[in-house]
Amino acid sequence: MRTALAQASLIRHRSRTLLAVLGVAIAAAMLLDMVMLATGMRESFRELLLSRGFEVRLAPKGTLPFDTDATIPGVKAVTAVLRSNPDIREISAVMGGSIHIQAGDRDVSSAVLGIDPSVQGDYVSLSGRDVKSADAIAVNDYLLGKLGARIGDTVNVASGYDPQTRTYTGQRKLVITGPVKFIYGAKDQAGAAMRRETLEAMSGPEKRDRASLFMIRVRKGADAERVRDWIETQLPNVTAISVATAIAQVDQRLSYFRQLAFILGAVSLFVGFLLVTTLVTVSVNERAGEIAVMRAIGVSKTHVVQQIVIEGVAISVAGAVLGLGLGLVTARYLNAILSSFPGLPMAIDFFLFQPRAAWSALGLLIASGIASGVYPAWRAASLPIAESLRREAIA
Amino acid sequence: MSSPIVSLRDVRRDYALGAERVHALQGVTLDVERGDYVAIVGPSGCGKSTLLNMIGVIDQPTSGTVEIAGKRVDAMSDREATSFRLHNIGFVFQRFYLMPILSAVENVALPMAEAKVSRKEREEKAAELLAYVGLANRERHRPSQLSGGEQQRVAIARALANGPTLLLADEPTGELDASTGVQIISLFQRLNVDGTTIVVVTHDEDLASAARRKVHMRDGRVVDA
Amino acid sequence: METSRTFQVVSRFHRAIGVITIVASSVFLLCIMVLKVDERRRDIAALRLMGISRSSVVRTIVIESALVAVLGSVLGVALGWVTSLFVNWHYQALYRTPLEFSIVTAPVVVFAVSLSLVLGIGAGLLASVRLARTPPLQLFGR
Repeated sequence: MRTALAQASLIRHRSRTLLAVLGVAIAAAMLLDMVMLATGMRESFRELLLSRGFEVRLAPKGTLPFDTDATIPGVKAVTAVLRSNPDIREISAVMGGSIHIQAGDRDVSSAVLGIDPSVQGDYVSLSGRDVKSADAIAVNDYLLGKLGARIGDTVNVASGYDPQTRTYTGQRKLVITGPVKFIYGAKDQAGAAMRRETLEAMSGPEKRDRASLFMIRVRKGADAERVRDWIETQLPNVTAISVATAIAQVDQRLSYFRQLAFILGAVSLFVGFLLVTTLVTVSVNERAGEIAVMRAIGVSKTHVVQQIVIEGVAISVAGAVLGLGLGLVTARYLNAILSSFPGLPMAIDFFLFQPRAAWSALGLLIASGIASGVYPAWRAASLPIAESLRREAIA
Repeated sequence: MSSPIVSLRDVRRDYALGAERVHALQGVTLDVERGDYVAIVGPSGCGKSTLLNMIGVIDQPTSGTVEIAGKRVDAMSDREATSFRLHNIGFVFQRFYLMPILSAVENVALPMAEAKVSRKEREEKAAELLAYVGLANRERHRPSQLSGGEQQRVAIARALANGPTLLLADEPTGELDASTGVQIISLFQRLNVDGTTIVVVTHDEDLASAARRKVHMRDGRVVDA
Repeated sequence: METSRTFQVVSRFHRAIGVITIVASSVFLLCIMVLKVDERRRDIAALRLMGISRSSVVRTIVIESALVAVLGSVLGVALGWVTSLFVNWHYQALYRTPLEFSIVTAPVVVFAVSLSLVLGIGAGLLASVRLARTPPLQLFGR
C-alpha cells in the first residue's frame, strides 16, 4: 500500500519528479567520476605494474626505472646473487637506449629495449613473432608506419651515437619482426626491442655487462616486500622498488587529482542531498492535509514518514542508475583528455571503474536520499492534526 | 445499566491564537451510551468541532478527562492515540478527505492495511462496505470521478473499515446539496439501527432531527435547549 | 608564449571539469528553482481567483526569482573569492611556488553572475507561466 501511494504521488507530478531525477543523476555521475578519479591512477598503475607478474624492480641507486641514463653494473654478478634467493623465480635484465634506423630513404630514431625474450615483461607480441635470433628487431606499429617498412624487411640500425666524433659505435643490418605492443609505451611513440646481447654489442664499452633495470618475479606465496628488503641488503648499489613503493610514489605526485576528486565528490553528494530534501519538503507542504487525514484515521507517524521517504528513495535510486551511465560516459571523455599526458604509458587510466568503490559511492548517495527525506517527513507528520485539518481544503 | 461508551468530565480546551488565548471548551461534561445517536448543535465557534476532536482522540484537553469504552484517552501518547483511533474510531469529515490518488475500494481498505489485515480480507471487506453504502458498482473509481454524495459515502465506508466502537462525523452534509444530504442522513439512520454508536456535529437541522438526542452548545459549554 | 604539453593537458582537463561543473550547477539551479516556485501554487491560485491577471502573477514571481538569483550570485562570488584565496594559500605552500592556482577575474565574475541570473529568471519564468496558465481551482486539488 505504501509503495503504491508513493508511486502514484510521484507520477502525479511527472515533470517535477523527472527534473529531480535528472538533478540527482548529474550529482551521482559527478560523484562516481570523482571516485573513479581518486583511485583510478593508483589502481591502473598497479594493474600495469603487475600485468606481467613482476613484483619487484631494481633501478640504479637513488633513481626510478628509466628516470635517468644511469645503469647497474655487473649483470652477471647481480643475476648470480639474485638466483641465490629461492623466493626469486625469474629475473629479467633490461637495457634501455636509443637507435637510429634507416629503411629505404627514411631515417627514424627510436627508443630501444635490450631484453631476453624468454623472460621479458615489456611488450606483448601482436603476431606471435618475437626476437628469436640475434639479428632480429621487434618494432611497434607506430615505428613500422614511420619507417614505411614491412615485417621481414632488413634495415640499417645504428646505436651508440658519440656527439664528439659524430659517429655511431655500432651499426648492423637487422631484420624487422613483430609487430609488438609496448606495455609501458606512451601514445604515438616509436619503440623497438632486440636481444640484449645484440644491443650490448652495438653499444660500446660503457654498456658492457650493465642493465638499466632488473624486473623480478617472486615465487608464488612469497612475500614481495621481504624479497625487496633482502635485495637492498645484498646489493647496495641498487634501489629495489616493490609495487607498493612505486604506487606510493605515484600517489604522491598525483595527490592533486585525488584532492580535486574528494572536494568535487563531496560537493556532488551535498547537492544530491539538497535536491532530495527540497523535493520532499515541497511535497509534504503540499500534502499537509492528506497527511493529517492519514493520521486522523489512525495511520501511525512511522508509516506516514515511511511512505514519504520511499518517494525520496525512488528518486535517488532512479537518479543513481541514470547517473551510473552518465558518469561512465563522462569518465571516458575525461580520460581521453588526460591520456595525452606526455610520457605517460598508454595503458594508464586516470578514471578506473571499480565496482566496489562505485557501489559504495552510489549507496552513499542513496542513503543520503533516505536521510534527507526523513526530517521534513517527520516534521510534517508531527503537526497537530486538528489544526491541519482545519486549514487544508481538499476538493 | 451498562456504562456509557463515551464519558467526558469537565473537559476544557484552551489554545493560543496569536497573542490571545481562546477558550474553546469551558468545562464540558457529557455521556454517550452505546447505540446512541447524538447530534451536537450550536452557533459557529461554540466549540462543537473541538468537542468532537476530543472524542475522536484527534486532540487532547487542557484539563478534564475523556473516557472511551472504559479507557482514558485524554493523556495517551501519540502512538497510543493513533493506534486507538485506528481500531476504535471512525471519523467522517466535512470535506471527505479521500486520497485522490487511490480508488474508492483502495481508500476504504487503507485503514485495514494499516491494521495489518491481509490483502484478500481487506479487499473483500472493502467491497462489502461499499455495497453497504450503496456503491457496489463504483469500486474502481477515483474520487475525482465520483459525485460529492458518493465521495462522502466512500468516506463513511472507510470510517467503518476496522469495525469501530464509535462513528464520528463533523458536518457530514456540509458540502452536499439537500437531496444528497437526505441520502446520507438515511444512511446514518440505517447504521445506527444496525448498532453503530454515532456522534455528529452539524448545522443541518434535518440531520440533527434524525438523531435520537440533541446536545446544544454555546460558548464552549453544553447548555439546555 | 610557449606552453608545455603537460600544461596543455592539465588546462584542457580543467576546462572540461569547468564545463561539467557549469552544466551540473545549471541543472541543479533549475531543479530547485522550479520546485520552489511550484511550492507556491496555492498562493498563485489564490491570486488568480482574486482577479489578478496572469502577467502580473508571472511578473511578481520573476522579480522574486531575479532577487533570489542576484543575492545567491553575490553570496556565491564572495564564497568563490574566499575559496580561491584558500586554494592559492594551500597550494603555494605545498609546492613552494608563487604560482597563482586560482584567479578570480572580472570576466569570470560577470560570467558567473549573468549565468545565474539567466538561469534563475528563466526557471522562475518557466515555472510561473505554467502555473499561471493552469485553472486556479485545479491548483488547489493537486
